[in-house]
Amino acid sequence: MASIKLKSITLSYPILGGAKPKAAGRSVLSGAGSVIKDGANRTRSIVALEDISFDLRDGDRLGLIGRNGSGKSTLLRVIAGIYEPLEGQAQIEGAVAGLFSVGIGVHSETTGYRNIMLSGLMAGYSREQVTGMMPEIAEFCDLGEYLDMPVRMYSNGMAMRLKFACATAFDADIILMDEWLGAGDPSFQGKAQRRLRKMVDDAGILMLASHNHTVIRKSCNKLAWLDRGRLRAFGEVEEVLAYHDEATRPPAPPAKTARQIEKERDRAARIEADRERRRQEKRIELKREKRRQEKRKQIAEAKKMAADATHDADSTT
Amino acid sequence: MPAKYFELGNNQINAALIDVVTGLSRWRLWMSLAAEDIRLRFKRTYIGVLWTTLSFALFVGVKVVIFSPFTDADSAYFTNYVAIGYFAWMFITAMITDGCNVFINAEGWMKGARLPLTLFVNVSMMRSLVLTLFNFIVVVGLMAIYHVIPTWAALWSLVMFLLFVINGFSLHFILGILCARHRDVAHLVQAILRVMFFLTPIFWLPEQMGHLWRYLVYNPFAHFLISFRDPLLTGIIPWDSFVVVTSFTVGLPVLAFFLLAFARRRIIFWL
Repeated sequence: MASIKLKSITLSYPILGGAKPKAAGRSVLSGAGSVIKDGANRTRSIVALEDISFDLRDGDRLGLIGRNGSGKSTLLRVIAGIYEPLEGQAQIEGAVAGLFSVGIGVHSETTGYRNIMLSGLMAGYSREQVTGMMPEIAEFCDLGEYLDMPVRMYSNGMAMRLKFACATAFDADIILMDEWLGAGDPSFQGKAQRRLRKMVDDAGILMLASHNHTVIRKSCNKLAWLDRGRLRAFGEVEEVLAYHDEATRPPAPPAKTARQIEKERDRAARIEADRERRRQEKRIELKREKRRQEKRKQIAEAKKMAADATHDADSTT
Repeated sequence: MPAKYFELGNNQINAALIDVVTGLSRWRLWMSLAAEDIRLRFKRTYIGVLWTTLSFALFVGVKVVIFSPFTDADSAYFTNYVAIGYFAWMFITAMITDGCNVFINAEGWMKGARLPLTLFVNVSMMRSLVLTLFNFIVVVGLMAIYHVIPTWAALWSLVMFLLFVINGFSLHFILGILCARHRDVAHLVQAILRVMFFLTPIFWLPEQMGHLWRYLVYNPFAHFLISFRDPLLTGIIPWDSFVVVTSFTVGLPVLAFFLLAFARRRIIFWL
């Protein structure tokens, strides 16, 4: 029933109000982020996705990995239909629920109940349908009378409960998640996880962007690795993870030459000698200090004796 | 579960059409959002939305008191002249200023889910229509007090108001898109509106302005205002103004539609 078909999707964000480029060209950054393309006529854009193609069918659980700014969230938003690429085609069949924005669209001045209603209408349900689902959602949030109050009166955790309930109340064929969701205190956490797990299990397709490989292994049966907006790998979870770990492992230090080893040994010896010298100095200093103290003591005693002597002499006369 | 299907990267004219149709068809959602907006604006007030009526009445009252010494029209006529004119002006400016911000204010919603742009226009239109209805209480009240009996020509004003709505709907798209891309536009529009308030015959009669009267034909705001006010107030239909308004009503929707087709998928990157 659910299906996703992407064909050479390329998407770039225009940079408005940012620094103007000096010359046309592409700059490849070494850190996080995607390629910045400087076009003609002083326009600048970030190439967030470049030539992405893949198909997903019912039962596919696709994990997305890649470092910050590699295009994971952008790709999820393309599939949610929020960003429309100017190049390439996408065909999405099925109701999409994007759980990447828990919190967007919650009115703080509106009551909990009305917020649930608006979320439902937003998801495409009729007023009657949402009304029918209301008791179940209210019971899940477990916010009692607070649901009649504006969200402004909620604590942060309570607001999170409501947002989580709104985001997960309405079933979807395709679920898009930017990091696995969690919310609330320990008593709510367990309930939230069960609900999310059920929602994910019921959905036709799941797409989950995460940096947590354990979560990916647990929830996904396919994996895509995005690197600077390009699809670097796509396939079985373990295969892609192995390839990813292999490719991103920091390079091993080069083998040392005999000369280097000798140099290092010399350096270590020098440091050790230095340390020994300092220890020796400290010992000598301590001895000196002790001697000084003894001398001071002797002087003080001598003075005292002299004073006593004069005192005695005074009293006798 | 609502079934959904969409394609990205297809015919933009078609996509714009779908945007308008789905936007209009989800009336449950935009009615609820508009109600929420109004509730929010008057939250924790005792008289609520009646504040609109009150401030409108106050403004009309002050204008009448200050400006009636400068005119030789009788006070009944002048009071209703100001009330109806200012009513139309309020609606026109609401369409323009709300239009400028319609998409900028919807950023949070637009980045959270796929929703047609038309939906946000409808929310804004609905909100303005409700508030304008509360202003109309004052117009009706004053007409009753001064025994201004509307003739059949008053129905013409109703038709004109429908044209106002069509123009306002189109202006929301045009200004909303332009302001999202170029943030100067909103300020420019504000500046122009402030000037036009004085250059439009709201609290002065064109006849008493002498030669200025000739330049009034170049002011589209004046044509809109006159075409609504005169049939209701005097029973005379100003045909030349009607022609101007009709031309706008044909031109603006066409412009709005093509602008929508061009900007629909780009606008999210401008917010």
